[in-house]
Amino acid sequence: MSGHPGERLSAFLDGELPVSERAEVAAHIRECAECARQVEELSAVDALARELRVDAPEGYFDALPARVRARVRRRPRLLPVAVWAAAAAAVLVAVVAPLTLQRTRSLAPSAAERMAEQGTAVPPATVTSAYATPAPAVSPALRAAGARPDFSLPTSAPAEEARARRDVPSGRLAQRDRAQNAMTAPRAAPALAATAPEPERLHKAVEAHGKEVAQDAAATAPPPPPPAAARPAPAPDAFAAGAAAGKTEDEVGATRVGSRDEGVPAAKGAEAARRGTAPARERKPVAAGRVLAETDPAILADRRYQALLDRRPASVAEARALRDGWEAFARDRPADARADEARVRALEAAITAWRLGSDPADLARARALGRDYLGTEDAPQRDRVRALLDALPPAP
Amino acid sequence: MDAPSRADLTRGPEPASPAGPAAVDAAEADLLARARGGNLFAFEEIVKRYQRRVYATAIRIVRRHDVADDVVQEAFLRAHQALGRFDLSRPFGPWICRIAANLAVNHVRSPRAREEALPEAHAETPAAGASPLTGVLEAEARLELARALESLSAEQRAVFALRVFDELSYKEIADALEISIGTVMSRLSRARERLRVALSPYLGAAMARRAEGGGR
Repeated sequence: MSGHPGERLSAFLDGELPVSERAEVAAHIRECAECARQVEELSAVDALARELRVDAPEGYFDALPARVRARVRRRPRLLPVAVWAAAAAAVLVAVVAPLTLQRTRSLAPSAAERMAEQGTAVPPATVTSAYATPAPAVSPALRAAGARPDFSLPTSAPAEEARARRDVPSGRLAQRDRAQNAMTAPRAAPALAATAPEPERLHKAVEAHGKEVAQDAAATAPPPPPPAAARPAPAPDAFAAGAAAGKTEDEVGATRVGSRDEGVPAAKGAEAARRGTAPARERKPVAAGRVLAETDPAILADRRYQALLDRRPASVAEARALRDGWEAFARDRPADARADEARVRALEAAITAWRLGSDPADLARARALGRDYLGTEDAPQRDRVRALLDALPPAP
Repeated sequence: MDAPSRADLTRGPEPASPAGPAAVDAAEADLLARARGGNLFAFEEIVKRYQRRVYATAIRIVRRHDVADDVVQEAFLRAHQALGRFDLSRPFGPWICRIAANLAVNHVRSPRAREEALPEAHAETPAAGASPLTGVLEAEARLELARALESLSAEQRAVFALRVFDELSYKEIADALEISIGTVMSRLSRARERLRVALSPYLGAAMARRAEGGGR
């Protein structure tokens, strides 16, 4: 060997050199004072490093075993939700269009029933055909129910909005619609009321994990001919009331329906619609195999976080959903380094919801989120949160 | 005197068994077998034994407590999930430390983590020296070492920590971090060289102390 061993001194120190090289380096060190000193110093660095104490906060190790146990116990339930969510998100692209028609036929009777309840005479065929063909069959019913004839077509609206109007609405709308029949003006839109009963879990799962993925899916789904006239769903009373109730999934549906009156784009409806059109129960076996490839909770969490980051709410419903998504992230993963940021972003989304819709309930929620945050000990971003709260109108 | 609230991680797995390594292994194998069978309390015992070591591995790489906490929990979760495949005749400690190191490096690599990085966080603290005379110099040396470790990349810290603290072989380090042995060798060499250069002024005293009586 000519010259100094250089990088190999480290491996020599660790006994990781092949036997022949080891002999070479040993021989060199015997002759070379500089390299001998370096080996000595490397060894001293190791020793010094080993003496470094590494501290954890007081009580940390007392609490950790129980925390780990609690997480291990919770773990089995997390996977199915993640599978649900990802399964739902994964299949939505493929099934939206054909499913819309299929779903509609089976749902027509219930929609007709509702309309009968409301005193609006609409033959099932009409509702059915609302999806299979362009809208005129439905609009007479709407007009009969007192709907405004002025349905602004989505010419200026984003493509998503158009698809939202076309798609079958979410099952949650149907449930709320039934619940609020008493409050509902006769003009509850039959098109939107014809909804698919939907697994609650799918809602939560999609919301928790797959929302934005689903949104992207909707954005790329091929558009069936839009019966635009069928879309306009002026039932602001029913759904605005529901929106104020504060339930996220309901809000999404409600705001979608009522959004035209509120002047907020119904892009969120795309999401609700897709949820309605995807009976994940049937599809779960198909998609689960694909999805189970990724069950790593850390990676899922990263995706979840990144997905939340990527969202740009353009409607009250979207902002509320984003707020809830951030809150859920912080709640589900309190030990995550990003949980604090998630809490602050929940507040930001809450404020956005209020700014977009001027709903006092959103303002109250934002204030509550801010107060909760400031009430947390050692909250790292107090200043940022205070600044956000200061920009709001003073609390009564 | 160090504050009693600090948890000294330089000791090995805890609690130490008075009966010797063979007995510890048998007890541990029993715990692992029961944990594998679904006994959560047995697994909790395993956590108690290795939490300090796993935490040390994590904190040395990620440099922040909250991040290390996340890594530690995740490491134990994954170990629990993989217990079914784990060969009980293998030592558990190095295995879970490898898991933790991999998680730690990956976490530091994420763009979000880089945004949040606190530049001056010191995971290590200098302990008081044994004698007043050498104490000051050694305290400075340790502080300098902590700073120098901070200046390494996460990948460099990972190989250094796994080698020096966890005493894994190059092959084990390569497996843990999913890199080649050649990369382990060069990364470790460069890391050590940086530390050596940073500590050079102090090393004379340290080396003399070691020559005198083997330090502590």
